[in-house]
Amino acid sequence: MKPDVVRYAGAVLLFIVAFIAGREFGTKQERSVRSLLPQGEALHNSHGRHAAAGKNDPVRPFDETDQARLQVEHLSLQITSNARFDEFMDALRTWAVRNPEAALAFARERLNSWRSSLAVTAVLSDWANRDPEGAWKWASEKFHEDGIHIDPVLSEIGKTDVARASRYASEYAEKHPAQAREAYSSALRGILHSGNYDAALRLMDQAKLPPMSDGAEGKYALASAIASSWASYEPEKAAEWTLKLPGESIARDRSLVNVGQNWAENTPGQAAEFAAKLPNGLERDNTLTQVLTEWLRQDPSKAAEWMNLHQGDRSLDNAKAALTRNSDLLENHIALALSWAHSITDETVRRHNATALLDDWLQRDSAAAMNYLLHSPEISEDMRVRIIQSLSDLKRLPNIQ
Amino acid sequence: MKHSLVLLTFAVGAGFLAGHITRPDNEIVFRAEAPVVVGADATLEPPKEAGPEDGKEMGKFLPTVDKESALASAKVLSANLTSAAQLEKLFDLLRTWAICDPDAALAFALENLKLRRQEQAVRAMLGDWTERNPQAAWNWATNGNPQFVDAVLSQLGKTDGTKAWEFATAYAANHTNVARSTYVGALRGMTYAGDFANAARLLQEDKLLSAGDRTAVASLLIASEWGRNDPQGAAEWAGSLAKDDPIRERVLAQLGAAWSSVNPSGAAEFGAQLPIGEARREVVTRAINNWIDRDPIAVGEFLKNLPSSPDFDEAIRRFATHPTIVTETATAIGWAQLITDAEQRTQALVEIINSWMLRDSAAAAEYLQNTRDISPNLRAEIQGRIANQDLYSSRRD
Repeated sequence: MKPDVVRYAGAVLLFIVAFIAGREFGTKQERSVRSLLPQGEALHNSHGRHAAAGKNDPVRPFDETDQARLQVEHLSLQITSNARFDEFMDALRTWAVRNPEAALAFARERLNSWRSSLAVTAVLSDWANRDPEGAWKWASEKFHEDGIHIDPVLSEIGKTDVARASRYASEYAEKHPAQAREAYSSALRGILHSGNYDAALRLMDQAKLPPMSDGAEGKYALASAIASSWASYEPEKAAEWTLKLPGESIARDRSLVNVGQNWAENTPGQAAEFAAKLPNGLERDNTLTQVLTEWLRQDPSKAAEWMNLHQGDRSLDNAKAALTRNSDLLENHIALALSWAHSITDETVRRHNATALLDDWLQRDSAAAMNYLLHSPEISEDMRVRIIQSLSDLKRLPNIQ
Repeated sequence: MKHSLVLLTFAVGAGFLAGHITRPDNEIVFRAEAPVVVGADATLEPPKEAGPEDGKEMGKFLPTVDKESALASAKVLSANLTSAAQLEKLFDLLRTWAICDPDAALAFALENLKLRRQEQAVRAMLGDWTERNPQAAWNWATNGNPQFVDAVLSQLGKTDGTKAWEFATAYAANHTNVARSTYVGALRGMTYAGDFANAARLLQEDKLLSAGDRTAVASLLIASEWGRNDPQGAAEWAGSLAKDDPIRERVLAQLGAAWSSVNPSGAAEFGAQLPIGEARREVVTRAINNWIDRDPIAVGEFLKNLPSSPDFDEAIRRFATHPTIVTETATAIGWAQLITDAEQRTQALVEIINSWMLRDSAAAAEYLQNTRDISPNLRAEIQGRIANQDLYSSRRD
């Protein structure tokens, strides 16, 4: 009986030893062969994305931690272009899959501040994607004094796990009230990225933040970020929500401007119509100016066409002033820029812009500018005298001084 | 005995086999051979389905999609873009589709996306296409899509700067109104790849760009990118430019600015060696601005060794009024006295004494009344300015 026990125990022991040997066999050989491959070959998919970037990616790191570290050290000494920096980043992210803390320490200590920040953000985002808890522990506990690293972690988690991101942000905000707003904003960034606007609104509603400077509840400090992201994709819904924010508050004003800006980036004509229908007042002026400035940047002729249909609207003055500063207009269509300046309703703003335009023109083509200034029927006599006086005060009119 | 031997041999064999099969690295080996799928509705197809111009890519396991289903999926996605995540999905799908049929995918983007989204999508696809087949991408851009010429050149410049420059020169010769943006496209790729010297040489030899455009391109693109990545190399190039070359001053200033953003002490040393003039003033001032918060002591050591010159006035003023120095009033005043320009010197002294007054107004007033460090005229000037400030503040209140 006893020899049987020994025999079977021995067999089990040998099985275990052989099992371990089997797991190890071939690994080193393959690793050494694979380590000869350029990093990019093995770790990039066809779009150049890093394999470590997502938990579902098919390729996993093959390098020993030491090898990866050496590779990072080596490449860090050869960063002489953005292409080389990208290669370095690939190696760093590969190393970070095995040892994120060491990779982060390297990125923080061995790179200049500009690159360090890029590297830390990339590594932390990857880590948060693979292991949200570990990344969050590192970012929230190790650097809790200033919270400098919580943003990439919370925003990455927010993309895929709304509940966890919301919980982390709330807990962190409670522990570190001075960084509460950053924590909520970071989580919101991820949540908004995934299009989970209802969850974003819920997080805003439960956010505990100090009151805003106008006395509005602190949670509304997060409103403009929600309005921005939402308006990029569902502008009507975002606008409807924004209009329900407390009236005459900073939060509502900022949010409306952001809705206008982001809406205008995709469908500026609709954004302009929305802004034009707002009740008269500062909110309307600010939103309309933002929308038209964005539209002018993208498509000056269409924006100008729309503005022509709304001649006489005082709240377009700021947008017209912005139009007169458009560099293309200034350099190639100065007469058109001046006619916009003359259409400004407010007399002071009109004179200021016309003077600035003529000043610019005088520097480039003084004869043409002087001819316009002295003879153009677009300028009233009273305005002509005032502009000449202003330019003379600035010593810009050598010929008539 | 025989039974034991068989048992033990079996245990060893089975254990080894089980261990080897289940070792984690096997997962890599098997999966690494599978094509990578990108895009929301991408389906795997054999490489033979790839488009004709991508034939040379057969061995690379490019992701491919069925053209019909790509179109259908892209339509659905683009009509329901409700988040950034969905936009990314659409872009991924378009890029995958563009591998098989770039013309169709690009046409879809031009037709169904607008403004910035259209530009982002088209540039991404064109970048990929240029990487695979530069001539085809170039033909597409130059035949009816000139707004994307620079995107092709930018990608091509990353791998073949000289060819990108040839394309750019040929195009710019017939489209002089967009010469600058065309060259910028090629140079952007070249500077990304670190091909700075070649970029600088080609720009130097160019005959199409105006002097103003050449200065802007050289300073904003080459000097700043080269300066940030390889400041010593950039400095050699800038130093080799002829003294009367109109781009020289701007290049030096831009190089200093770029250098100081990554290594302000190095940039300060470089700036101090430049000939007297605007570039020297700008580089040293900017370097000190970037350096002073990190290491004011080292900045003091550096400034000590500079010769007296108006070029360094602003840097010294910045140092003398820096929060860590200004609290040491005597030291700060000593530094301020080194400023050569009378107006800047007075302004610095006013700032220093103002700061002292906030901390100890009686001591500051007494010092101002009795000090021999400054001339009576200067004292009167400072007292006058401080009094005016008081008047201004009380009016404002």
